[in-house]
Amino acid sequence: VIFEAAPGGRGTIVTVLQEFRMGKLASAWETLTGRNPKQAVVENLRHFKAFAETGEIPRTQGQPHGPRGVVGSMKASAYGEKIRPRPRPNAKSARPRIKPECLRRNKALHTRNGDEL
Amino acid sequence: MGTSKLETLEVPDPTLLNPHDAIIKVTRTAICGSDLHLFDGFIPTMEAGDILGHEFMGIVEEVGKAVSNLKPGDRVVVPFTIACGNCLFCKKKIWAACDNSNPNAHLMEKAYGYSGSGLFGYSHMMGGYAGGQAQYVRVPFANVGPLKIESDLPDEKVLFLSDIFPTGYMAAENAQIEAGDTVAVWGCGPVGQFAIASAFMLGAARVIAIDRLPERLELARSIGAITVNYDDEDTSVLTALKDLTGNAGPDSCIDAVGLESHSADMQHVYDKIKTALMLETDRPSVLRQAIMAVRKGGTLSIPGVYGGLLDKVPFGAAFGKGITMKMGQTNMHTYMKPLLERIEKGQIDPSYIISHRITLDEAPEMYKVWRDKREAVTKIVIDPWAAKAA
Repeated sequence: VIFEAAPGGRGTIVTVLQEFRMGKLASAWETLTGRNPKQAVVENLRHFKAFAETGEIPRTQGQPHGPRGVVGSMKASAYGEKIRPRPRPNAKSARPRIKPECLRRNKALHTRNGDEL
Repeated sequence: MGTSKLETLEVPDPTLLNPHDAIIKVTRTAICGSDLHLFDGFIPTMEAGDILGHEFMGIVEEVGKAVSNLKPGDRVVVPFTIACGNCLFCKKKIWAACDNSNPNAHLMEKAYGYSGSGLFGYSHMMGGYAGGQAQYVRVPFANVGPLKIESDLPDEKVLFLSDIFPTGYMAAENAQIEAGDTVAVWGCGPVGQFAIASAFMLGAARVIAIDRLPERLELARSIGAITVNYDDEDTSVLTALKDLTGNAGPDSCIDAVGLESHSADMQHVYDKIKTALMLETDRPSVLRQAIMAVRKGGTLSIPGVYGGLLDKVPFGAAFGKGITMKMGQTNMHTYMKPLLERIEKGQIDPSYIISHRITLDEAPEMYKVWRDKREAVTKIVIDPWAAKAA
């Protein structure tokens, strides 16, 4: 994790460099369900920024809603709304927590602020 | 497009989820013209079970531990845009572009490149927050948004500070009006009404209001506008505006209609077909007219909502005349307090637009009335605690 001063005194740019190894099929599935590691890094950075700037991570989990039905429920999952933001970032490690099954072999994907290098 | 099924249901009460949250007991809420875009399926990522409503006010019931400026019992109006108050954009006072209030920012980034702020009850792309057409609502970043009402003004006079009055006012401000200007306003619904009233406040000498519904044109006349009914067979809006301005054209145009506009000519059929075939997402006939009608070097202000991809927009005309276009969701937090002061001073009573007062149980039916413009409807206000009339 790299912290750099932004030009013109506009805060800090945080860069996360992280390597994931996973198969193409797993990658495609994770992308489809909104849980691919690249997006996870982006979301973790976004959460970190929100927490640093405001003291909280915006969330809607736990708010009331009407019956979602099967389709609505699947879509909520695809929107990533079922992934709980962690209440507070773990001070010891700024690394995003990735489910161990994501760490698979072969294809390496480097992520820098969400962009492939 | 989309589904249009609405019902009133019992759901669990909202709870505090974050330190800057507040729970508000809603005393009055309203149905907005932009709720119709959701109802009619023009805004993507609305899902089954979503709670609508982004114009509401009420009494603070409970506050999170980081909210120090509100306490239970305070009476507040809540802005429809949710802003954190601390990001680059909030500090620049472009509150509607808040960087930290949309939990689903990644969805909006896919559609728009960057994400705007979270909104209440306005699709998952805009945050997926539960809306305020309910008895209780959770308000995030309650330390920043809600405006305390300390005077004894009735709810109906201040409720519209939650969206449409500031939206109409920002539209007039975006129109860059100078003293003596002529301003044309498309759409005499609630936002159009407040845009007309605000244009006069900001120095317009004349406002020309365009609509087809007699009751709305009448309301516009009641606050001093000249009106043009575009449904009159011998009136083309462009010609009417040219005639009224000695061929110069209005100095500023305001499109208070947005993506579901109607027009009296073949354009309407064209857009209906293209949206039905999903070859465009919005029906921009007012936008086209306004770009054509505004004078050379004039300003076009767009408070009407657009959602996606528009077809046959005369951008050459916009370029050829060197016009300025200003638009966007309202930066609510900038306008609420000054406009409350105007209401307190008696300069305007926003409740003049209300035509219907209903209960929550009647709301699903009233969405249809509102969509079809029946019963001379101009604005619907809901008392969520009123019992259904027998």
